Amino acid sequence: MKETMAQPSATAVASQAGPGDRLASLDALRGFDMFWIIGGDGLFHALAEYVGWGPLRYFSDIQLEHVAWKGFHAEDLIFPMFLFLSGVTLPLTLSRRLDRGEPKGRLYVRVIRRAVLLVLLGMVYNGLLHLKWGNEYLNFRQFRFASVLGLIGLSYLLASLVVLNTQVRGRVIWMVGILLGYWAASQWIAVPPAGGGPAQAGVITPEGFFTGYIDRHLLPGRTYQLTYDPEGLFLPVAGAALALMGSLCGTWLMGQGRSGITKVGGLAMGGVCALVLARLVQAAGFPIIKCCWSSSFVLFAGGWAMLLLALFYLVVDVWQRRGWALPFTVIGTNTILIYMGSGIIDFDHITQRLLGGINGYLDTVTLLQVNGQGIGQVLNAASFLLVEVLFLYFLYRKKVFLRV
Amino acid sequence: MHERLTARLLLITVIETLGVALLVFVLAWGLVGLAGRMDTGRHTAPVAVPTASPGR
Repeated sequence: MKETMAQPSATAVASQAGPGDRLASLDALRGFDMFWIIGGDGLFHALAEYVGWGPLRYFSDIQLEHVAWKGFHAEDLIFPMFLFLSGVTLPLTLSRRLDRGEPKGRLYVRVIRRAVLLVLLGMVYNGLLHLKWGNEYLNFRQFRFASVLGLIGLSYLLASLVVLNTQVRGRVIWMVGILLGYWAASQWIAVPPAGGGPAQAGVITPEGFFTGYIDRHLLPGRTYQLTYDPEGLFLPVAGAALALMGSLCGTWLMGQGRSGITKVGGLAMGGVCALVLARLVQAAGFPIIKCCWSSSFVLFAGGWAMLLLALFYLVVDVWQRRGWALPFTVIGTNTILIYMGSGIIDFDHITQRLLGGINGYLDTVTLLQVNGQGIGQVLNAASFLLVEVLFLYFLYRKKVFLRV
Repeated sequence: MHERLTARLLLITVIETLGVALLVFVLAWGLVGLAGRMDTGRHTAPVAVPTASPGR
């Protein structure tokens, strides 16, 4: 996520693509992704409740919730999208530094430092500094070491090592090899299920899959779910394949002598191919499962990410329609800050202090009620987002960006 | 000549891809083996208290 978060990612592209040709679509898409985490979903839940309109309810109740194990909802795209975008920035940062003659050793130190920082930040997010887990001080058995940021950091690290040492062909080989190898492992490695019983291969369930077995025995502390951790020990390998997919898209976008429309077309075609391949892997016995980052899930999420990147690149960079994307851009240039900050700064309290009164009053206005339902919750959710975006806009104007 | 080169390149690509696949498979197998050896008798995690974790 690191380079992801920060302004430099986009600036880096600018220097590749030429002055005045800054890749704003990356920041906007990253912000669009983060928008759903920091309150966009809350706004849609409130809207669906208020309006009660079928399609909106479906989106809010089904698509904005994770699937339990097998399958894919829009909500399941949010996390992999960050990883994909951090991959897109890889060729724009690492390859560019290599081309400039920066020693490889220094770049290794750089990516390792970032990965370690992200793992640590993830642990802080999980409450490391509370020092009290499971109602007991320093009871590390009750602390969760795995985290979203940790998985992003470790996947990014593995992908970086590949990008630092290979060209496009090598990256494709690593990506396809990882996905194939993971598929083979899913079919042929037998482990005893949680709760005991004979070892069996090809049982892709929360209790029987081998990634959960690894987590139960090798991951220190507690796992997020009873029998596995959705950000477990083996998953950075699969995550690296997604970051590599992103890095190939980054190289494609950097390509000289290609028109913007050609780049959009290439991305869109790549996206459709990845979606089709995902279905093929699924048919070969490895279903789309976010909780274990199955090969088909990586391809499916990567496919959608490519299609969205194609859309954002077309609108923001090719057609140069940027005004609408400003709220997303201010979020997208400071994603780590708002992700970590939302647990520290009480935006809810600020919102209530500033706009709670008027929202409460408008909630009682009959004219604004639908089927007896006031508009207060919708306004509260929107105000919450507004306060966050204004805070980030202030930092954006002051050029304050948290970089990891 | 050119066709031969392309065919050779394709062959190398396929072999390398399978090599990486094998590497990942062996890595997974190794981790599973290690987990088995370090079996502490804990077949389920001590507790499962899902905490809110946005964006996952």
